[in-house]
Amino acid sequence: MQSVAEPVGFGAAGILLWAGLEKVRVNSAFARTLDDLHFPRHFSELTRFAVPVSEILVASALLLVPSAAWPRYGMLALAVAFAVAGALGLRSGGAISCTCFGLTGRSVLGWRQLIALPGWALAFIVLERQTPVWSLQDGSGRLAALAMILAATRGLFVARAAMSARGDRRALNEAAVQIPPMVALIEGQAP
Amino acid sequence: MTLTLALLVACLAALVFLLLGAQIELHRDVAQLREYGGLIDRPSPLDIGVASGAAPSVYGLPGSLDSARSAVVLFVSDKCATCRSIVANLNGILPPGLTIVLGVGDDPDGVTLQYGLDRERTVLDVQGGITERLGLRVLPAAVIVGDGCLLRATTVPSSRQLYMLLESATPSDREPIDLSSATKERSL
Repeated sequence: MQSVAEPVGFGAAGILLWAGLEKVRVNSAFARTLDDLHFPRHFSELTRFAVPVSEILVASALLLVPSAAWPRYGMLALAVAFAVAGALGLRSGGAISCTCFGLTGRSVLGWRQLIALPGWALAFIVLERQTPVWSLQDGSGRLAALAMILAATRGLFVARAAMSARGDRRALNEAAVQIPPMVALIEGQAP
Repeated sequence: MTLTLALLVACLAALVFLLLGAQIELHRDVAQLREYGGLIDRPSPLDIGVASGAAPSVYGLPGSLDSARSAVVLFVSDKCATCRSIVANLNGILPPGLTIVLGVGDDPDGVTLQYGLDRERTVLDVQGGITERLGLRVLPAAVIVGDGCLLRATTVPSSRQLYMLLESATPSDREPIDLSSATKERSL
């Protein structure tokens, strides 16, 4: 069970850290999502910072102090909050942008958050029944490793986008001069 | 010390993560601007009407295409800047399965020599007869041949799209084209 609990905790921390960091980066988009959910203004202002900070804190704590109970309960509380947001999104017609993992995705609030809840609950049960134990020093190493894995994963996305942009750039010279010669050809004139 | 160092690495990695996220958004912005500006490298389908499904030789293309399992016929003109750019990028090397139909003006020999085109695999369309019969009004364009029939036509906005078009046909399916039986507007 211990062998399962460790990757489960690592994975949960990874998801929460990714989501929290992205909500920090595009916080205004996250605030728009909260506005779309028709939260009261003062509550929305608080939540737009509280959610990403909580996600980052819980993710870090899951790795730094795995024996503590509050990170696990924090994870479960966040999962319930996500599911509630999903249900509210469904009630509003399913057209509210999620911004769960920032703006790089195009998903909307809805079934995905509800379906994820049992998964989070299962992770909670696994971590609760077999709590991983390691020192703060080991935990900090794991947190550093996780952050580097996230950065490297994102680096792959950037590399793919850069390659696509490079191809477009190389084609641009030809594409940019395409339309006028086409017209000239149809009219039987040389450009 | 190790704890501090590990936390510092974690913070730096998180910062890199955020910066890379911003970079992805920049790439998206550029792609969006290019799309709005019409500067997109995207082929558009062309209608070849009744020619679809017909044998290539009926429209003046090489007779060997009638038995080709898969081939691409590129239509270019010396009047079109994009066409010249695409042909120049070939560096005189025609990939397997590619046939060029070159619409030329007064000096067809000069054009083929200028780009180092293989005369054996280039059809000169002096009066634009082949292009006109197929109803192609936009160049550069390509007609895809499959199982000896004209299948469809598309614009070719760049060299990249030409190579992608060629790659879309299975290499083993493509056959070198023998132009000895080609109906030419002007003999080479």
